[in-house]
Amino acid sequence: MQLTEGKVAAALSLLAAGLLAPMAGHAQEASGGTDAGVSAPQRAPNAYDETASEPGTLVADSAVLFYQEDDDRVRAIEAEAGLTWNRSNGSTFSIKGTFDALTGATPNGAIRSNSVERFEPPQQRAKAADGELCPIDGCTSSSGTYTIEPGKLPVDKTFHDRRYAVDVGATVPVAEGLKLSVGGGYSHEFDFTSRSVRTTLAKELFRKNTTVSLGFNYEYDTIRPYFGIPDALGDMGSYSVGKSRLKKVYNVVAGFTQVLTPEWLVQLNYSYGHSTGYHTDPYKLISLVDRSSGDPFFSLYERRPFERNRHSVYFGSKLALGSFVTDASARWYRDSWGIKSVTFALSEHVPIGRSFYLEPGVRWYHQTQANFFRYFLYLDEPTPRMASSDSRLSRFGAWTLGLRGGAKVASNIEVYGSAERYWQYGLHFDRTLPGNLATTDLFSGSKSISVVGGVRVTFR
Amino acid sequence: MLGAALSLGGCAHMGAEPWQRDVLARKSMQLAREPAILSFDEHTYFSKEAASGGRSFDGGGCGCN
Amino acid sequence: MTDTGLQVHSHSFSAMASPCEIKVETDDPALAVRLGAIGEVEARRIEEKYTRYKPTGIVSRINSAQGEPVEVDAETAGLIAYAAQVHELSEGRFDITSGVLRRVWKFDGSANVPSRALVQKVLPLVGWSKVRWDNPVITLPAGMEIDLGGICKEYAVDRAAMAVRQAAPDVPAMVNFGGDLATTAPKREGRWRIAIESLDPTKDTGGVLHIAGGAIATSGDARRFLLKKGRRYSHILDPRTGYPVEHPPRSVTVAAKTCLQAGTLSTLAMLRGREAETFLKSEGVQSWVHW
Repeated sequence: MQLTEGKVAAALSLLAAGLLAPMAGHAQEASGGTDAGVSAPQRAPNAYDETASEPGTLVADSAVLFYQEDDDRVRAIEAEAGLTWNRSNGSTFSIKGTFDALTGATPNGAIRSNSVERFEPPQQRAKAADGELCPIDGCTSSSGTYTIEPGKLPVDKTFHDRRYAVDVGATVPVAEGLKLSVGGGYSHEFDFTSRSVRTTLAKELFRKNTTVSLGFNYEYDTIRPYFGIPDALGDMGSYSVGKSRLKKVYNVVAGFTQVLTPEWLVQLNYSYGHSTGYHTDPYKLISLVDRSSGDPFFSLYERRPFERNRHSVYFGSKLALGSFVTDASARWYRDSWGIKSVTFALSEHVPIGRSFYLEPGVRWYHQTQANFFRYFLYLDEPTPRMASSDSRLSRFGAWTLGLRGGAKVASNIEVYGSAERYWQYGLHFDRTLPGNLATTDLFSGSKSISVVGGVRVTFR
Repeated sequence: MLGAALSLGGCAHMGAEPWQRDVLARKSMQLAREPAILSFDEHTYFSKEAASGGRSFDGGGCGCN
Repeated sequence: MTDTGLQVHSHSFSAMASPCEIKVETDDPALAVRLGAIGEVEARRIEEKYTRYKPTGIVSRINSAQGEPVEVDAETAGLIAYAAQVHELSEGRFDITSGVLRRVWKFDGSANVPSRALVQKVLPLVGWSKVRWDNPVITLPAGMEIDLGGICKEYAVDRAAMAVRQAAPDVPAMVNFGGDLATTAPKREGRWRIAIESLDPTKDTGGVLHIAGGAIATSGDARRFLLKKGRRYSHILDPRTGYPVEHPPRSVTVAAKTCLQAGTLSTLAMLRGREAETFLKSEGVQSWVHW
């Protein structure tokens, strides 16, 4: 059959229509488819039954966190020191400094492979004259070229960073039962700077049994990846397309706190966040996989939307039973990227002896995946507009089991601490995938241990 | 919901009288107990999970997410 | 959104290794859910039937027949007959037996270009002309294989759209399986808006195409190639030579009446390499080529 040019389309139109027309029969129908206690003044049986934050005090609080992920992944030390001045007129002023240092390996987004995989950062138009990629000893968040052994999760092994942050806040009574809070923060990393300002107005109503509040927070971030801004969805190793990008976050929180009984307090918050700018993780890649063999062929830099809208509803409850306190909370979250999540947490404050307490707690979290999340892309599919294989945007669940404790060791000194185990769980294998993909472990979630120790001194 | 709760707030049987506030004033009853542990936790969850905030503002101030 | 309560509802799922979506414009959310389920059932049926990866499937039955004739059902026969005719129309460029070339052309990161001898060794196993096709009986020479993957997704889009249309003839819906899509009826409010990579997002259209109806399919090689000694080997293999097509576009998007037709045209254009745009122009089809 010899056809002149221009006839292929016409012939195909007939053929396709012919194939589809007589077969409506194949279609299948979907089958549907404690009563108020009498409060005589008495000495508190446990130190934590004493009244909180008295006016006219200066409180110095400092704490250290040790954080370690399994399989020698991220390790972090975070230290925090703060001063809070509670004036006798009801106003408070606070300042807090935070330092953290991160080292270890973080998943780069590529999938496991049966052969050695090699990864490289974006090339920069002009390299430093000495050819040294990391001229400062602190280096940057991400690294140069590295290789990953067969079957191992691709991780960026030289991931390290340091963060310095300072936060100031003030709360002043502006009228009877009306308090205004203002604050601001500045945080600096080698490749990331964040500045934020916030304000909250809180009004107490009905003999202080109800508090309503409205807060606003604005954050302005600068992202400066060490190797520049990668060409989103461009080839790994291709030239960077800029030095830095911005992100702005607006956040509104409407809060409502209600005393239900003299022992029971509940809180309900609605929060809306809107962010615009660079949401892409400049260090994350996504594998291109050959559909026939199921082997990764190459990697692209990921790309996320320019905008994100987040909604969450938080419900918290504190119920005292004797000196015991049950803390329960729930959070429902959804955002414009298609992620929905739920979080439930429960802990029990258990007084021990005269000056000690323990608080065992459990937390469960679950999220659905972002609509542009893909474990990988196929070589022969058209590149989507957005794609990320960041496990934080995947469908997964997480448990936390923890134990907190504290002790009043002198009239003005408290020590406290916590130990927590956190683990994520999710899809490991998808047997319906082609070739070697069916036996490739797709999971890159983390498990970690956190230990915190702190001390608080109150000066009068 | 807020409206309903507000009207409940005005109800005589709800809440605590000023002389019944000793339990609510306890350290153990404060909504943000051990703020340092809370901020470490939120920082960790912010860097590991897609959802954030709820209890307070959801910013992060870090490049970890 | 509007006073009429008309809204576009969306049902998402994952099938055929692609994110899938069925959008329905209606004021009845329950109807949208039902139509979404109908489309999904059809997608899953076709995926299950034509997957190469299940030994129970019809494709593996044909491929493992060792030279024996296999009689196929009417639907499969229709697809094979279609592929045979497209093979002829494309002068042998489109060939459902070309999959075996993937045994030597491994796009697995090793960047190994196979030797000429190796390509010559598998080439005898490629070529629709070597297949005996007496509808509905197919006889493959031992060692040869067919793969309907190249037309299955587009076919599934059309079939799912048909199923949705059959259940609700006047309700506008759009079936989108991994970027290949078909609409069942024009939207009542505005047009269907589709973002296309081949369109320049910096232009005033924002890379968004507005269509009243019909179907759209995209074939892509994107930036994917083997690089050896400065020479780029594309991912698209020409079954006649056993070698990659030279200089194919990054992607070709075609609009047509059915998704199957659009998808076949975009594939044929890719197989023309440098001549892709010329081919589409001479065919007079609405298309967008991204180099």
